[in-house]
Amino acid sequence: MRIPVSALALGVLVFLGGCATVDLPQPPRPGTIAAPAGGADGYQHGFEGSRFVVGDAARRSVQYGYLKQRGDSGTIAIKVSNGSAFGVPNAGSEYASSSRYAGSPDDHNAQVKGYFLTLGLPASQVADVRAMTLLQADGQTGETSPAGPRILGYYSVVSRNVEGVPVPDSFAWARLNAEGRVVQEGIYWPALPPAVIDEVRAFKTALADPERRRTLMARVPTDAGATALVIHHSSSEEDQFRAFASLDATTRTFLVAPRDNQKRQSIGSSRAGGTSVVHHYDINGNEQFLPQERLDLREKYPEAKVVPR
Amino acid sequence: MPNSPRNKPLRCGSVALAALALAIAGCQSTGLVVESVNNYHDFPSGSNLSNSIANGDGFIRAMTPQGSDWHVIHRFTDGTVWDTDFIDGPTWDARNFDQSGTAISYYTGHGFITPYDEVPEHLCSSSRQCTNPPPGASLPGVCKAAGLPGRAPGDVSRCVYYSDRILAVDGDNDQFGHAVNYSAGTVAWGESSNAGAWRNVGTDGGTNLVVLDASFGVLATYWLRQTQQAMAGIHMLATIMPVTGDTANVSDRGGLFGASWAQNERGPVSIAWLTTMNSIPGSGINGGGCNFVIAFDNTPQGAQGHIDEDWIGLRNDTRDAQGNGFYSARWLCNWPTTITDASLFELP
Repeated sequence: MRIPVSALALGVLVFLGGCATVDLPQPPRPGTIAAPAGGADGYQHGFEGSRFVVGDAARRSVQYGYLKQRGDSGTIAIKVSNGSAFGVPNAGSEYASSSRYAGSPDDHNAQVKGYFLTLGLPASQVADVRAMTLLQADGQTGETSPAGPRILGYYSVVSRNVEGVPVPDSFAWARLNAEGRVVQEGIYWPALPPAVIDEVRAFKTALADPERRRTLMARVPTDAGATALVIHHSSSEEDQFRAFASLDATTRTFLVAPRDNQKRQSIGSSRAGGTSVVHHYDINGNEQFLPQERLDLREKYPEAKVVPR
Repeated sequence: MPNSPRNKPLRCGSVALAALALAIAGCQSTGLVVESVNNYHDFPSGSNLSNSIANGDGFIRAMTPQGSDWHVIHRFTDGTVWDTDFIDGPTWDARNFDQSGTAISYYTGHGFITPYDEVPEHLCSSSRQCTNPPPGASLPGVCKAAGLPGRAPGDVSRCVYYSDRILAVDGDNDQFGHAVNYSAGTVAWGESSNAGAWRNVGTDGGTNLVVLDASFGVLATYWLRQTQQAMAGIHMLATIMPVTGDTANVSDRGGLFGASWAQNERGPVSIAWLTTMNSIPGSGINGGGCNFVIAFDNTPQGAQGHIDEDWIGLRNDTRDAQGNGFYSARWLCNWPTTITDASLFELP
């Protein structure tokens, strides 16, 4: 059997990479993140305190921008640039695949909320805890109807509120198994600077004034179905942090299949839906964008396409 | 003493041997194809989206940090996203969305609304009441469960019917009216020498995972019929199943999905897609709905193996599906429930 040179080179590189020693950065200190005076505290999830099951043979490394603690059952990865933390089980991990949580969704919510509060998540910022349901169905395609789903587990998502205003980009969520072990988790709950809290207060003052409110509302899309005052910040995948108070306006749009264009009005009047886009406006009615909404890689990957012959 | 110096040579050797074995095997796909559409000029005013390109690029960025093995084969946006890119043919999907060497093909943009519920609406309490499909839809009709304890919130139960699912693009060389019907057999993704020719479309494809980040990727009750015909060897198809709302066009679903690989390449790909919901404002669905993944193969074990697959297995072309006779499907739905039968989505 011939082995390509490139394959041998790859093997050697991987070998060397696996043996290299690097200075690992210190993991961030877990617990409440104190904000500057006038700001809102955040929460840092860490290796210490987490009940996520990493398993045996735990070791630390830095890879792809994450500081990791990996074991035989899973990895906790903390993004070096912003502190977002995720515990991800290995496929087939016995902790994740066996012993599904036996309690109710409400029980699961209470346990997950308690878990994060104990670790230092600011209790005053917890707005809501919402359970999501993980389901699976297996079957044969020739059957008259698909198999009914079975429940594999729950995820409880803790949402955030500051100054009475939602912070929808923050999250703390986890899935527990029957033993109460955490088999998956995700946390991004950054501290918010004082300027953002000042913006919220200014917004509230403006919206309480009928004239200023009218002026502001005139700047948002006319088809906006809903508006809400919120605090936004960069997503957990962004290295660049930005936060601002926003009047969010949600618009909906949908496309009807060509042969059904004549039904556009009828279909649109039902509650069948339409994709939604959330736009963000500052107190002057100027549209704002989060870093992840500005991402465009066209210069790195220029497009070239020719019509095939 | 897992971290003792004595163990290091063994670990390094194991890593090298594993890498060498993989390279020799020569059946690894690490390519990414991303097609993203914001601009829909050929459609009525107000049809444009804002976040598709950022969403697709977020996926690329998350998958290609320094040191990553993944690489971009195609990145198409707006007018360069053609309907033929997705439709089976040696110069169509085989050179674009389903090109050999591709591991993940990611579409983000509109999906068409197709005839679904009756006009005017028909509220119901049993599927036996649903016998009158609107033009363009077909039986069976079901009473979609909504607004009841344990069911999707945000609507009431209504009669709905089957229709094919169709992506909407706006390419400058479209030949199928900007429409990609992936339920009717003209789409076949993943056919390869490893998968074999069981789908009778040759072996000139090769992607292993298709992501359809679009409106109404599949619909409750009909998800099996709506996806089965698209299978020709892919390991999994990941999309969104709105029940009472629709997909939100967000900028970070792709990035969150890709980041899960960067966090743990031994993590399950299906769970990575499903749990993007937990980190997106409002779950990424503007009502009740689920993130959805389905895998097919010619044995139950094969289908289950795909749905449990990690990112390393996803690259492995020797794992390509050998048929579509069995399936495993997973959902993560944005509401709590304890219902464990089909009445979760449809009333008997």
